[in-house]
Amino acid sequence: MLQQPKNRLPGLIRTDRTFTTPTIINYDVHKLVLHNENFRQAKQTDEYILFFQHGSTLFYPYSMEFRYIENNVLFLIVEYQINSFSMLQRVLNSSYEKEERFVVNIQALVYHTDEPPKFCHPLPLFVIEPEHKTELYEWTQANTKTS
Amino acid sequence: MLPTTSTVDPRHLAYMSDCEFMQVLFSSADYFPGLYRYTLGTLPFPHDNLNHQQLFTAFMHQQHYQKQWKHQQWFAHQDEVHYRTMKARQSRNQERDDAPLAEDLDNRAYRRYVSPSLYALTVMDIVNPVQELMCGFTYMMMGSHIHFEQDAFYVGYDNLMHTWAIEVKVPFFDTCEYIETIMTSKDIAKLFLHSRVIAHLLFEDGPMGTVCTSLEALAEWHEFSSPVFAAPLGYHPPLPIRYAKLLGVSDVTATKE
Repeated sequence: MLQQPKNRLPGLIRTDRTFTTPTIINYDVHKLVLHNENFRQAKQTDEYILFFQHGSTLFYPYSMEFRYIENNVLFLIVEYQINSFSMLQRVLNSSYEKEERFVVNIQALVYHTDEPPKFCHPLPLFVIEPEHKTELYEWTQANTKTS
Repeated sequence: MLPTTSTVDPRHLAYMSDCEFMQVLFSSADYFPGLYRYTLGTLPFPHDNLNHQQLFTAFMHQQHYQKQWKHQQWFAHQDEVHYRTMKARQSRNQERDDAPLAEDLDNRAYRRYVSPSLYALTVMDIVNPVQELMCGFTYMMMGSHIHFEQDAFYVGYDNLMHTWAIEVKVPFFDTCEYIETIMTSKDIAKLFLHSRVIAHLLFEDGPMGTVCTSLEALAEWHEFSSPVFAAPLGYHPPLPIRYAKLLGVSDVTATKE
């Protein structure tokens, strides 16, 4: 019997007919912690939006635009020309307050990659203010592993 | 269903394989996946939105009588939609506590449909449900055109220009096999629509629009009553999801001069 490859992206890749929506609620250098729940029941007070950075170029993963609870980040950045994270945060929070009546602390998680990330959209004009972002480094992870 | 927590290595997200990307993408299909995407049943469009037959008539008038219509005429329905969703006192946008933000978003949404000089016109079959996914066909799923070929599928596909935003090299058979593990045939019928880009609408040097298509392209679609919607084109690189917020298009052939 052939063995199925291990699901390296649990929470993002469904394995049955149950649908839940993922939210990144925590992190460390090795991992992102995802919380999956029915969208209408999701009441996480802290949430992270993941970006990649390679060199000086910032990227947004297409996978998140399709799958993440905030499934319109790229739409807002490109089509509504929202060029800063603080503005993005204001829009998303206003929507949460309007639709769901709760407040979420949304922060940016910027993961610096050694190689250009795959399936991503470059964001040459988008700025993430230092007070809103946490930066993680792939090379740090490699160093940590070898140290 | 119970909430679950899991962990993911960010490297696996940064360098996901084509097969993983395929699985994440189709995992996103749901009736109400997040904050913003309209479900197909709640599209706020006037019932007399432009349809395929009327687009054909408009194209014939353009080809034979050099008839053209202004941007304002093409997007009169979108003006209504915009008013209802962004400006009206009871609109979802005006329900925001942050009034300056509501006004700002109103302006951004307006610029989104007024500023572009090029739009994709896409036709959607809302009458005949998808029975099964077929190779060589294009479908609308979660605001994105997905075109299947034997060895790959193309996200954000434009049938006229044969361009796409993302190429995913997974064989059609494997993709279908995965979709069947997470969706019933009833889900497929509701979450996928037969759809394709059928024309482009170009505004070059002025307010008059040119319909760019061919009789062959129009004839490839057989459901004459299917509505036609628009999406702005011209972003580089192209966006995979172009129809999350559809633009309504008016039947210009019924316009009174």
